[in-house]
Amino acid sequence: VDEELNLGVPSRRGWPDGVHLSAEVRAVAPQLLGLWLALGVSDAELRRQLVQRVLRRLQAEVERDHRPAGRTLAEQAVCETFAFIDDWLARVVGGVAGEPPDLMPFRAALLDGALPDWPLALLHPPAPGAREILLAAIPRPLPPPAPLAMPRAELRLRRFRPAAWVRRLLSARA
Amino acid sequence: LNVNVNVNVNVTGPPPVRGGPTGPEPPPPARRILHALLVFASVAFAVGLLGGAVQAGGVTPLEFSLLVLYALLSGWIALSFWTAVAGFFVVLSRGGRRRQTPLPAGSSARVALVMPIYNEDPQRIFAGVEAIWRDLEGTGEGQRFDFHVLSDTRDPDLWMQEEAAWYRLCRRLGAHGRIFYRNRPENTARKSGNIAEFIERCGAAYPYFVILDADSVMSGPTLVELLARMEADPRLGLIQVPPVAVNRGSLFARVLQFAGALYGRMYCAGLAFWQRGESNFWGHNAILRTQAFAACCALPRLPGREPFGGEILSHDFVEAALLARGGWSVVLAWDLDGSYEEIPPTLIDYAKRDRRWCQGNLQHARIILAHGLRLSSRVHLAMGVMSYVASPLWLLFLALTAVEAWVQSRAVPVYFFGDTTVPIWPDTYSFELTSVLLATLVMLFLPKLLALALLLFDGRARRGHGGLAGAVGSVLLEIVFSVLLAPVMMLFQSRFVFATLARRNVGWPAQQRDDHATHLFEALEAHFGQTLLGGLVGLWAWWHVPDFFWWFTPVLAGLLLAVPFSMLTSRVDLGAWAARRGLFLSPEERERPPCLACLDAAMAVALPPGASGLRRVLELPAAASLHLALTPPGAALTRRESHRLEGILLALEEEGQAALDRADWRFFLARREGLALWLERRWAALPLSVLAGPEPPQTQRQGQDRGSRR
Repeated sequence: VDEELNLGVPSRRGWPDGVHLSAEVRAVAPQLLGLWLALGVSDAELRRQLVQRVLRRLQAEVERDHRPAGRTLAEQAVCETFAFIDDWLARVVGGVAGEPPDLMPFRAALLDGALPDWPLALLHPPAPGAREILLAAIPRPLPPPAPLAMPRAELRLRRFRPAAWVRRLLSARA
Repeated sequence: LNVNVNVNVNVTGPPPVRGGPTGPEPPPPARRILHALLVFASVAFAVGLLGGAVQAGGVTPLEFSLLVLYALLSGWIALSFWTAVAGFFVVLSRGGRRRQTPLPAGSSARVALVMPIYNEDPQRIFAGVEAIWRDLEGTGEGQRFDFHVLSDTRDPDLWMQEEAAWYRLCRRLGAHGRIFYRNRPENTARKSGNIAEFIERCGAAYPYFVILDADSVMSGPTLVELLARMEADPRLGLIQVPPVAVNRGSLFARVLQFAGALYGRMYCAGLAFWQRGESNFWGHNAILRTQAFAACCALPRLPGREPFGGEILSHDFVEAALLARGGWSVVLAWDLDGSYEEIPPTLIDYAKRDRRWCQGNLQHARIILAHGLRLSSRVHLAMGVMSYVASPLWLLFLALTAVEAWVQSRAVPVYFFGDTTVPIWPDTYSFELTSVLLATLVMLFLPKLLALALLLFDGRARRGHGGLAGAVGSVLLEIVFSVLLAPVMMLFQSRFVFATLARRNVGWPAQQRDDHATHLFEALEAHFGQTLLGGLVGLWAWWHVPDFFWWFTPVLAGLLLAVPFSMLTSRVDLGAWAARRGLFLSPEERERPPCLACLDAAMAVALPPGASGLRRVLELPAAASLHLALTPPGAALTRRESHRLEGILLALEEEGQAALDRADWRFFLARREGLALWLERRWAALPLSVLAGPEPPQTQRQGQDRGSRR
C-alpha cells in the first residue's frame, strides 16, 4: 500500500508538498484505497492522488485536534472522503440561492458517473458546465408540491339485521 | 333532466365538483330495459320448463331448492349471454373503426401516468415505463405526460432495486423530472391510499391521471386519444380501456390470452351497450379526471373488522360507483386498443389471484345497498359478488341434483292405482329437460360462435388468430380447456368464499407473474383434495345412480385430471408448441404493437450481476449515495432511536443481512444516519485483502450499473 501511495518514500517532512502525515493517519490509507476502488476509481495513479488529498485533510483535522467522540480515525477518514467530495460539489453548485443545497443528490449523480472523468475532476477546480451537467442528472424523485384535497367520501351503509326485522315485525303484530 | 340529477347528487353524495359536469350523459333506459327483459325472459323460459318437469306430484323442498338455484345461475349465464349478443351486433355495425378525437386547439393539459406498485419485479416495472415513454415520444405529445411510480413495496431488497432501476432509466432516457419515484413509509389503505397520497401531494398539477398496474402497458396513441376524449367532454370522469392479456408463454396463459382477445372485445362492446355512461372501473388502464376523483373517491373505512369491514380492498368498483353518484360519466372505451396487461401464468397463480379478489368482491356485498348509489353501480357491485358466489351455488346445485337423482332412482314406479286394471304410465319430461339443457348450452357456447363469426368480417383479427381454421380449432380446444378448468375453479372459489364468510382474512399477497412450471408437489398440494373428492363422488354416482354418472363426467373429469391438467398447462414448451401449430394465437403476437416491442427490448437488457438491491447499497458507495439522496433528511434521532440504530448496525456487522427483519430494514433505510454510519464503519473496517480482490465491474468512465464486487 505504501508503495502504491508512494508513502514509503516521503521526505523528512512527509510528501513533496510539505505536509507531514503522522503514522496514525498513514495507517488508514488502505481503507481509503479500498473506498476509492469501490467508488469505481480503477486508475491506480488517480486513486493515489485522491487518497493523498483526503489524508492531508485528515491530517489537518488531527492537528486541529478535531476528533469526533466515538469515531475511529478510519471512520473519520471515510467521512473525510465524502466531505472532500461534498466540498468540491459545493463549489460546483455554489450558485444556488437561498439555503445551502442538499448535496446528496449531486453526490449521487456524480458517483453514478454523470460527469465524465469525475475522479480526475475532483483534483481540479470545477470546470465550466459541470454544474449544468450535474443539475441535469440529479435524481428528482418528487415533482414540486401541488396538493389537492381529498375530502372523505360518505358511504352510508344500510344495516342488514334479519333478527331486528323479525323482532320489529313481531312487535308490530303484537 | 340535468337539474334533477344535480339535485340528486346534492342529496345523496358529495356536492359536484366546482366546474364539474354539466350533467351526466342521458342514460339510455331503453337499452337497459331491453337487456333486462331479455335476461328475465330467458330465465323465465328455462325455469318454466324445468318447473313443469319437476312439479308432477307436487314440488318437494329439494326440487324447489333446485329451481331457485337454477333461476339464479341461469340468470347469471343469461346476463352474460345477452351482453355478448348485444356486443356482437355493436361490433358488427361499427366494424374495426376507432373513433378519433382531435385534441382541442390550445389544450395544454398534463397527464400523470400513475403506477402503484407493491413488491413487484423492478425490471418489469421500469421496462413497462420505458415502453410507454418511448411510444408516447413517437406521438409528438410525450411532453404532456409525466410518470409517477408509487411504490408501496415492503421488501427492502426490492425497494433498493426499484430505486436503482428508476435512476438508471431516468439516466438512459434523460427523463429526470419527468419520471418520478417514491416509496411510502407506511402503506396505509393499500392501493387506494397510495393513489390518494399522490393526489394530495401533487394532484393539482395534473387535470387527468392514468392508473397503470405494474404489468400494464398502454400505447402512446391510445393515451393521447384518452386525453383528447377527456378534454372534449367535461362530463367524463373516467374512461376505462379494456386491457388485453399478452406476453405470457405457458399453455394456460396462452389459452386465456386467446380467449380474451377473441371474445373480450365483443363482451366489452356489449357491456358498453347497456351501461353507457355508468360503466365500471377495473382498477387500471383507465384515465380519470383528477378533480372528480379527488372530490368523490376518498374511500372511507367500512365499519367492523376485516374481511367485511376495514379498508375497502377492491376499490375500483366503489370508486366508479362514487364517481357516478357524483354525476360523472364513467365510460368503457371498448373501441380502443393499445391497452395491455399480463395474467397469471399457471392455474395455481390464477387461483391465488382469485383468492385476493374474492375477499374484495364479497366485501362489496355490504355496499350494494348503500344510500345514494346509482342502480347500475349496484348492479356492478352485485355482479362482482356473484362472480364468486356463483361457484358455491353451482356446487350446491350439483350436489342437490345428485341427491335428487338418487331419490328418483330409489322410487319404485307404480303403474296401477286403485281398482283400475289399465296401467298408467309415468309421465316423461324428456322434451322439457332436453330443452333446458339445450338452452343452457346455447347460452354458454353461442357467444363463442358469434365471436368466430365476427372474424369473417375482420381480416386483421382473422389473420391475427391464425386464420379461420386456426381460430376454429383453438375455440374447440378452448372449450375442452374450459370444461376441465371450470370444476377446479368452482371448488377453489367455493373454498375462498367459505373462508371469507368464516372471516378468515386472506391478506393481500403480491403476485408471481413470470412464467414458471408447476411442480408435482405443488400441484398435489393444490389439487389433491379436489381429485379425491372427484374420485369419491364418481364412485358414489357409479354405484348408486349409474344413469346419472355419465351426466357427471364433465365435472368429474376436471377434478380427476386436475393435477396433470395444472402441471401440463403451466408448461411454456407446450404453449410454444401450440403457437407453432397456429393454435391460441392472438393478433398482438402476429403483429407486435410498437409499445410491446419496446417492452420486449427493455426486458432483454441484462441486469447487472449480483443485482441484490440491499447488497448493492451496503457494498457500493455510489448505490448508497443514491439511496441517501432519495431519503429526506429527518429530525435528529431520539436516544431511543439512536440505540435501535446502533443495535441494527451491530447486528449487520456481526451477523450480516439475515439478522435484520423487515421492520429493522425499514428503520435503517428510512434514515440517513443509518446508511451514513454503515458506510463509515464498513469502509473503515475494510481488510487489506480487498485490494487484492477483483476489479470493480466498471471504471469511473463507464457511467452506470455498478455490480456488486464481493
